[in-house]
Amino acid sequence: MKFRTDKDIIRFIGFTLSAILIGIIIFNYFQTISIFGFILILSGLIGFIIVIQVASKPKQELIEDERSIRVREKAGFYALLSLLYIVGIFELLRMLKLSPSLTPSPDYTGGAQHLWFAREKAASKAYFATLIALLFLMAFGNIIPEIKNANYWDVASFIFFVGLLPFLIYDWYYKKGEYNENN
Amino acid sequence: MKTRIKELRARYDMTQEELAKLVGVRRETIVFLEKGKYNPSLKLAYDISKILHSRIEEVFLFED
Repeated sequence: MKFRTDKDIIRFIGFTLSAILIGIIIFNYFQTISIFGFILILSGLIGFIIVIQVASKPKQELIEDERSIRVREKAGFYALLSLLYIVGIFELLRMLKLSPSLTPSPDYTGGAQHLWFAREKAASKAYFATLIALLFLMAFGNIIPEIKNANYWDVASFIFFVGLLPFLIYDWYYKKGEYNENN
Repeated sequence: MKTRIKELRARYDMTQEELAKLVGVRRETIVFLEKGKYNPSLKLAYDISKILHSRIEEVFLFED
């Protein structure tokens, strides 16, 4: 397998390896914020895998075209549906008093539920908008008394992994196809 | 949907990569089109037909 070694690839490999290194330092020496170290290590590793995958493809295969946009929207749509199903199941479990700790509040899923029957484009964006809104609340939420004590980290990691993992799987699934090498 | 892209490409001695570059898509999109596994937008169908010097209905064959 051939890997491209252009400037962008080297730069991103540098970013990801730096993130992993800083993550390891934070994780080992700053116990109070060790969660940030763990997040940096994890995102660095995911980034590194993505960069290696991108480096193995020629540049022509990486341009955005109508099919790649459609695939991403479709993957986003099904990721949102998966997220809503799983959140729904956890909500049900919470109602049955089986799993109180991992359950997100319905406040932030409410907006996304309205888009249940929306087209793929809107649904795909709704998933990422939910994530961004949550990150915004995490950053600035402490100025609003009602949501000051909410445990956003539980909710953020829940949405991030439950939503992003299906998105990556669906994205891979809809992209995959056999190549006809005989031009 | 069936297409005659492969046949017309061969007539003009054009590779998948060349066609992809001319219409501004990835090569894999041309692969999926040739296999009939992807329905293109009207614009992409028009661009491909134009480059292959054919009409849309000659390149893309819709079956009932």
